[in-house]
Amino acid sequence: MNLTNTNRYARTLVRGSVYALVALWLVWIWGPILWDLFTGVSVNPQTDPPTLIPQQFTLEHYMTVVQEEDILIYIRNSTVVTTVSTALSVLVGALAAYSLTRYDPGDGQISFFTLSMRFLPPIAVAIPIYTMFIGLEWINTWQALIVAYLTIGIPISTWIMLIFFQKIPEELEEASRVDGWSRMQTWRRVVLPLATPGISSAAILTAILMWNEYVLALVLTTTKEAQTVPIYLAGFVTTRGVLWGRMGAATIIALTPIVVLAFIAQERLVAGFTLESS
Amino acid sequence: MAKTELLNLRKEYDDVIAVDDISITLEDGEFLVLLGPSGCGKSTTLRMIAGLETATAGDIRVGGEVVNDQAPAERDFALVFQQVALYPHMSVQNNISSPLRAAKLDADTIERRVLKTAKLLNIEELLDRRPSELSGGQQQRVAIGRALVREPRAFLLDEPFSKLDQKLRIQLQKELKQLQGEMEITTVFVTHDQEEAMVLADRIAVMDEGSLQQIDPPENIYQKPANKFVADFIGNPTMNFFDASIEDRGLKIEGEIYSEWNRSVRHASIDSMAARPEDIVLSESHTTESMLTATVSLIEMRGSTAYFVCQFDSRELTVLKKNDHDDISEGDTVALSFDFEAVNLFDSNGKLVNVTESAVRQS
Amino acid sequence: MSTVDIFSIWRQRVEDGLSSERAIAWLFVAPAVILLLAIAIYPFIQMIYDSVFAFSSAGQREAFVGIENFVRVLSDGRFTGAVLFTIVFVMIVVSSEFLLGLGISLLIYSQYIKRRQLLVVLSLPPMMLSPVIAGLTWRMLFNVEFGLVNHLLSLNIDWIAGRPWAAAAIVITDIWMWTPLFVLVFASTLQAIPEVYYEAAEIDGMSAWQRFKWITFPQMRTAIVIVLLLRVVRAFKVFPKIQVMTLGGPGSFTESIAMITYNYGFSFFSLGRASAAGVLYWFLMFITAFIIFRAVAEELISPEEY
Repeated sequence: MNLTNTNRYARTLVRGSVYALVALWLVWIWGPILWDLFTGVSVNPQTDPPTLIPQQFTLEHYMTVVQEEDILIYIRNSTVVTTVSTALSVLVGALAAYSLTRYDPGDGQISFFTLSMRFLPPIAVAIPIYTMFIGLEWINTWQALIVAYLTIGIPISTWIMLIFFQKIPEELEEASRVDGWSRMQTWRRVVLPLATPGISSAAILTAILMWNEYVLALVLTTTKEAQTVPIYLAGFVTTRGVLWGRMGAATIIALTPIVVLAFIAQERLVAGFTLESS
Repeated sequence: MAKTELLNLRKEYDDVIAVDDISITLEDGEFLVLLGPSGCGKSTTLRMIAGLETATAGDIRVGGEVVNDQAPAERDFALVFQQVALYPHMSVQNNISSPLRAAKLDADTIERRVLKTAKLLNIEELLDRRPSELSGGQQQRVAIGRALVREPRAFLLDEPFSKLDQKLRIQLQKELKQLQGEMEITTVFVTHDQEEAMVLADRIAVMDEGSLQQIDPPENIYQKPANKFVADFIGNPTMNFFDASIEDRGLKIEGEIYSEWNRSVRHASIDSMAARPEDIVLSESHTTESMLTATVSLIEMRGSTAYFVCQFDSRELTVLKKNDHDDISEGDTVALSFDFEAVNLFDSNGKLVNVTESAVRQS
Repeated sequence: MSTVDIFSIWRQRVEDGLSSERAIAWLFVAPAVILLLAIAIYPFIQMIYDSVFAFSSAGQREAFVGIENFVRVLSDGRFTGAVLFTIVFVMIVVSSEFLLGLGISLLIYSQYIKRRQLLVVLSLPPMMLSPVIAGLTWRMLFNVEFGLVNHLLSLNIDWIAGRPWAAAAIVITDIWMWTPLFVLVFASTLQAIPEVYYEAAEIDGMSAWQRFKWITFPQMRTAIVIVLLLRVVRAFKVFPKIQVMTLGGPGSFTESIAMITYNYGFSFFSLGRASAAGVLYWFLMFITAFIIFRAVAEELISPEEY
């Protein structure tokens, strides 16, 4: 887009303001995150007036959080639940998406059904599920969350992979079959490699959602042995006071897996989000 | 209308010089074609004229006024792009009227002018359609309509027909030429197709590697190419080149002396000679005179014309004529003779050497 | 016949059956469909069923009470308050995020900015966090005494416990979290618009506003509708943030529908009312989604003329 403005002065003025606004935007985005970071390492996070860089540094909060409060247990729980549930979701979703793009059983109704699951409020599902799981004695177990999270994971993975599979031309598979490969082999040799970016995008997106999930975990787990990271973090809100230092440390620890994941797979992530909306 | 001039126009991208010192004065109402191979800078020049690129050096003047800093619309130039640049979400009518709507003219004037332009281009029935519903040729017609509806000071086209099929291209070339003639709009047309240039242009500006090689009416370009590049680029089938030099006895071609040369050359070092297929005559080689001989390797029929492709040395020549009373077929050895009125001589720099009339006799 | 023979015959049959394309197609979608039916649809129906019963506080089903649960819920000021709050919240939040996201993406895609992809990626973190983290972080920033917000603006507002302010705090946090989604979607849409259209617009002499109205916006229409739909649905589910920032307070001022439903179930232990609330909640979402969906269909079928 080029401006038709001929006035050089006005142009530099506009350029300057655009830069300023974008910079402001980035500060607004990253400020709170940095604040978290610094709070976690500050001896006294609550100062008047508040400062970003702490006067005294400490790793005390991190230690407390890890040793006394066993953040690692929560991380363990979250990791198990997220990994297994994501894997299942992606697998199921990939199969479904593949079938839907190639054969469309159910004439679009199944796609519609799967995607409309996103409109289900988790709490509306959580309550009856809770009752169900009480019967199964699944409260406070990993399988409870893994299974419950499938309601989130399957719709999303299916959606994303629907789009990815649509982009893989059927002719490639047909050519492979003509060459003599069986269906299974075709799937392994042709479809799978091409679908890998889609699968990773779906997996990453799903994993992030599950890692951050709160409502279902809140309902279905009550003990430390089973609770996930978001529940733990929410526990920092006591009746009036909040332990800011520890919260800062815990937050950063909780964020680390996501950051690592995002860093490794930036493009996939963006592609995933973009696909979500295409 | 005010005259448009390009003065020492230059465009650099990092270290690449895309356009190097181009100066052209556009005559009112003329159809100028910028012709050259891919990458020669013709599109860049056009875009500088339009205002989509800014010149690194040099001026573009309209009516004496420097317009380098002016936006395209201000200069009142219209441009037709190579790709289809019709706005996809607008009807044909709205596409054509868009420059008028941008200028906020009143609705009646807009409607009137759009209708008038549509009639000119025979696209009235298409006014309500969307660009996606049109064929390639129709789309370009609409694009031309959008440009012309403004009645611009100059009309710029960037290889608009290159994506269309042959027949359609010829049709549109004809229509465009006619339209331009009637409207008398100064037009600059970019193409790499030299046939297109020959058909459309009042003047052709041949470009290569950023610089202007020659600017002349088509006949001059064809008959008196300013250098070897132009000679080679223009003409289909291509020019035939021979080594040549001037000696006391006359013109020496490819080591054989040939002095059926009735023109004289002024003090220049001749290096080569170029002859068009129609300027070489083949005859059966049966004389004992020292003559240039070649072997006919292929006879190509193009339409109703027969082109003789001959092996000469290690090169191929394409010749059009043969002596009518000679019967020549593939595999024959033939003698070459030249129409020296028509051939061009070039010096060691590749530049055309001027010749004047004077008598040289066969020795 | 030996077992091996039977087995091979059986396998042959299975393979024959499997080679039917339809069979495979259905087989592949089966896990997804079955799982969703079991984990989502079945409980949902169960909930509808439950909603017409009364329950003991231990969760035992007692008597059939017809629509009594619904009546109780709908006449509960707290519930209607939550509905109102949620609706207003969604409207404010989604429109703000939309406008802000649109603005930022247009800025990033203006001619002045080079590293567009990078800027977009840099804008993403807020939406990748857990709402719990976002809520906690902003709670810290909104703290009366030590919070950065009050400090920078030289105010002394109690953002957590003040009547309009608590809502504002939650709104701001949500905007922080989700505007990047709009930026991302719009950015990728903007990127896809061919440069040539803008060049033609320059030739035609369009002003910046005309360019936006006639070229940019029409190309963005589909994306806009979809992302709005997504975001509205998601915004309706708001709960974790609130839980962590204000616990619905002051009083139940900032309580959302999701929250009150949860509270019915786990604070009041009234499964009947919780179920009824759940049904109403879903119904509300459905209606909203339906309305927006209709708007989408209209847009796509008869797009406006420019």
